[in-house]
Amino acid sequence: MVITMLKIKNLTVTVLDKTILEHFNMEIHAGEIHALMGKNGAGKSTIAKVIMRDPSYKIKSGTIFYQEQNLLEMTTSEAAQSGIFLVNQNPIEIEGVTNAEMLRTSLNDAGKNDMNILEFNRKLVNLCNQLHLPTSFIHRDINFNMSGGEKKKNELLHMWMLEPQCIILDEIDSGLDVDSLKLVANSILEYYNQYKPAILIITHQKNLLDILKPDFVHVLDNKKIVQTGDYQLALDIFKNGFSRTSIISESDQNE
Amino acid sequence: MKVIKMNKIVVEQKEFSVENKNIIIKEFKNTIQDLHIIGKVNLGILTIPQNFVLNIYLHEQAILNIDLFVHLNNIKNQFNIYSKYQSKLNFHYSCIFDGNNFLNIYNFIQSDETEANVYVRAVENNGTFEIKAEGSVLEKTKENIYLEDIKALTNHNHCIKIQPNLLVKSNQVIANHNMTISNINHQELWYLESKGLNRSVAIDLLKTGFLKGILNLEEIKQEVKSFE
Ligand SMILES: Nc1ncnc2c1ncn2[C@@H]1O[C@H](COP(=O)(O)OP(=O)(O)OP(=O)(O)O)[C@@H](O)[C@H]1O
Ligand SMILES: [Mg+2]
Repeated sequence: MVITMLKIKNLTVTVLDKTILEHFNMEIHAGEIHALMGKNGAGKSTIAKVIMRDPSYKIKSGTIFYQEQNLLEMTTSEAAQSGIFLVNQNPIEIEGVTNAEMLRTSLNDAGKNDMNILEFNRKLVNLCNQLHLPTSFIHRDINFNMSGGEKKKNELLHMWMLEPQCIILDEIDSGLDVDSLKLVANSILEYYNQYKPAILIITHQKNLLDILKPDFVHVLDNKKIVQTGDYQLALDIFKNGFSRTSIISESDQNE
Repeated sequence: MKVIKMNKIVVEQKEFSVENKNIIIKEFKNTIQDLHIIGKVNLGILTIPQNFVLNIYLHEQAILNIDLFVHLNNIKNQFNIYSKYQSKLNFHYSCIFDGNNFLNIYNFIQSDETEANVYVRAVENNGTFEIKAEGSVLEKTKENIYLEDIKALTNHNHCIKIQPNLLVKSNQVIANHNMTISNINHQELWYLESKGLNRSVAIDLLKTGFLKGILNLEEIKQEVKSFE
């Protein structure tokens, strides 16, 4: 049976009285990789943060179900504890709180901490090696004074430790050099092969999608999904841009 | 992580000297205490008496790093720091407070080429706190550096009063104050929640993080952790 991970229906979202998303629909099943594309300011990060239950966004109408639970009735902590994970477009820095402290506390709060401290450390050391991060990162303050690329890898370190089932990656490929991008993409692929989560990738670039080969590609424009296709749609967009690929954008331009 | 074990001591003499040593002071027996610093000293302080005056004499070229974490509960404390030629001070004061509390830090810069970095981090539990930080740079002294960075976390801004004051009689000094009173950063809180931490736990972690941020000694950081 196919498990529906996320079912977003007719969602209208505002921030400071400005409507960002209107009649937005999307459905993601377990084991599927979706890509969300769209112009700057289209509302991609907004939907990512809405799913993570960011209280700055007001839900005017519509529903979101996560594995048959009403996501709109869940807090951010509850959403995270039930397996949703977001890598923000710009991961913030938290001085004074280390990766290890945060991760251990998170596993405890979710009631998932079956590792003793040695196993926990061993797992972190292995992951640092896999992600080509120095093991000193385990006790570094979260993203604090890390380079752009290191932050993205650091977020993946969190993902591997927390083992989420529904992953949203908001431009995880931005600011990565060629080698880091390959490493990050392969790490995500490996995670996918191991856990078969649902993944939503927000990106403007081809490289990550070349490796992760999304099952579905959505174009967000004019506050809603205007087109859904397969990987070929992404290739068309990379080749021709949004305006020639997507239908509504043209009428949008005539406005 | 490498942790150097430091000696823990109780200070009983009214006049006490530390020379080229790393020590943790568990307790001061006197409420007025003179402390002489010679050479390079790392000092951790775990508790202070109710009404406490600590006079710190930094001898020529002394380097002192102080890390202190205390839970203030109706406590008045005063630190008078006398800096001699080419001495360097890093003063890191972290606290949680209840009741009514006062902290005065006086820096008397009496000579040339000294450097003082004063950091204070205070988290309100339930109480008030008045912080006075004063630097006094003597006439005709040269090339002194005096930096103050005082931050407090609270939901009730009126509970905290910070008064920085710099008396500079010399024009050859680099001085800077930085003071902020704020609430928990909502973006940071949301980030931790999005990683699965319950709100109250995330708030505690941010508070202790804020307090630990300025500390260097593992023993003192540990105190902040165990306070949670
Ligand atoms: N918290 C907020 N306050 C005010 N405006 C916001 C807020 N969040 C988003 N917006 C606005 O909503 C619109 C959509 O923003 P969003 O960040 O979702 O775009 P995006 O598709 O992710 O763009 P990009 O490709 O540049 O990352 C923008 O016009 C933005 O200015
Ligand atoms: Mg964005």
